Amino acid sequence: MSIPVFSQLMDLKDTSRKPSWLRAKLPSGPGYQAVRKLVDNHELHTVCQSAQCPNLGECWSRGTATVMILGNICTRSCNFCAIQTGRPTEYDIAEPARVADAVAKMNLKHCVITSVARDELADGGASIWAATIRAVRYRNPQTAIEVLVPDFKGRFDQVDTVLDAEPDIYNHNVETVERLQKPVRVQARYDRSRSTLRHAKSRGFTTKTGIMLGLGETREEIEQTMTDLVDDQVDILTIGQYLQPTARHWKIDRWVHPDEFAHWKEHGLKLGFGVVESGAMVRSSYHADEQSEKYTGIEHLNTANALAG
Amino acid sequence: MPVQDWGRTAYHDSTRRQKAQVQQRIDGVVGDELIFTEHDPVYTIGLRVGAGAHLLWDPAKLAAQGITVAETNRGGDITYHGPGQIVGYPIVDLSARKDLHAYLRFLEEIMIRTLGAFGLAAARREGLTGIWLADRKVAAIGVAVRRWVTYHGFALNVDPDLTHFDGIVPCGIASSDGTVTSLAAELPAAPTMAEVRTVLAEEFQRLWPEFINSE
Repeated sequence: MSIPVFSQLMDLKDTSRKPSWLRAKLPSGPGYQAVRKLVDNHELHTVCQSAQCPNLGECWSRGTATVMILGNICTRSCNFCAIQTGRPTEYDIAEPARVADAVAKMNLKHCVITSVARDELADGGASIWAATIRAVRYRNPQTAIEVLVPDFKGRFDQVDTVLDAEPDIYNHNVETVERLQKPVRVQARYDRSRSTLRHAKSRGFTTKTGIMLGLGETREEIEQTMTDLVDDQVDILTIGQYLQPTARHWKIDRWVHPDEFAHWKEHGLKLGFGVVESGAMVRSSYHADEQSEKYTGIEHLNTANALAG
Repeated sequence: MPVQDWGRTAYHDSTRRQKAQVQQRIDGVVGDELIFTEHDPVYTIGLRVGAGAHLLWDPAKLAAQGITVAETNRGGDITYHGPGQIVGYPIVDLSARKDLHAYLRFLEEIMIRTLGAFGLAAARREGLTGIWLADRKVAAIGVAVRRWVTYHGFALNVDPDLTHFDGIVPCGIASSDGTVTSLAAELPAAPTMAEVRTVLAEEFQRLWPEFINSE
């Protein structure tokens, strides 16, 4: 298969300056102000803020934020991620009620909820996850619920606690190719993450995962990863540009050209993914409503997932 | 599964009605049913040895508070029932399963899912039957069976007078090991009794077939 040579267009290895296609929109307007107030009033964390997402301005201006439950401190120390590592202190059994209320006030037809990893908890945070899904559904029966969850250390009983609450989309990111798992994700493992996606699929759920490009992966490795994920029957794949949060984080390797993102989208669809969102600014929850329209919508809510048996 | 709402009842009256329903279930006159009620203020003493010693108030104090005391043949220690608390009495045939512990876990699951819908992440506590919000107990469970037909059941605190729990050592659990709470105490805006009953009944009806048909 031929892949266009992008290095002729510009020096994609010069990571000192952002290319034009990575310019983020500044936050503005009444939508942004309303989301900001809602997040503050409900004492919620968002991955938009904690992970320094470049799309915050655009998404919040559209009136949508991705709530991050189970606190703001993560037990993992992934080298790509801006979220603070440490010993978490927050465990709020009433957080699900506030999340459900916030989703209602944002009036979302598709909500994405994520969390930090809570490896120190006996259930990995699964019971708060389950209550959050149930509370959001009870308050917002017409809203599709996408959960972006940790790997629960591969514990299927904890994954099952989450699945029993029947999210519409089960999203867990493998983040990068197999070779870079250890240096980039540290405590996480490629096989273990894939096993949780396969488990969710075995129970009939719509599954989704994502990878970042620009971490030092090769084209062959990207192809292998996509092949692996299609083998796992993942429905939705997101591919985005890695942005290095600070100088202490994993060194960015290159800018990925928009034409290359377009190539991977085409490649993924050919391999058999139902949906591939591929672009520099693509993140798990970026325009997630549009990404997953095929798998949500009224007829697919709750137990009636697209691929549910 | 049919759901009955007996409304407000005196404890002894409801026990008599439960026993009649159990007999009818054994005789096959009725099928499995889920009964809801709300009791007049009462302390009930279960079968656990020493449960009676966990009643702290004297008869004068009990009379002043308008709370009666009843001995009962359900499992467990002493507890309180009163207005603002949903009492659920599933009169169901367990003979296909014959596993009382699994039935207790099933009742807990119903309540965990119901509380989840209202935004509270409830959990079990190892070795302590009932449903907990951290170290605060929000629901008690105590069951009995006759020829594998269940009676008694669960009590979920929506918005009862929590000071009434001061008259006992609830379930025999010292206050250092846990206290009692309610949905109203935990949430900025508590749901109504009717809303909670509806969700309890839905979850019960949804999970029951799977429960009774698994081994």
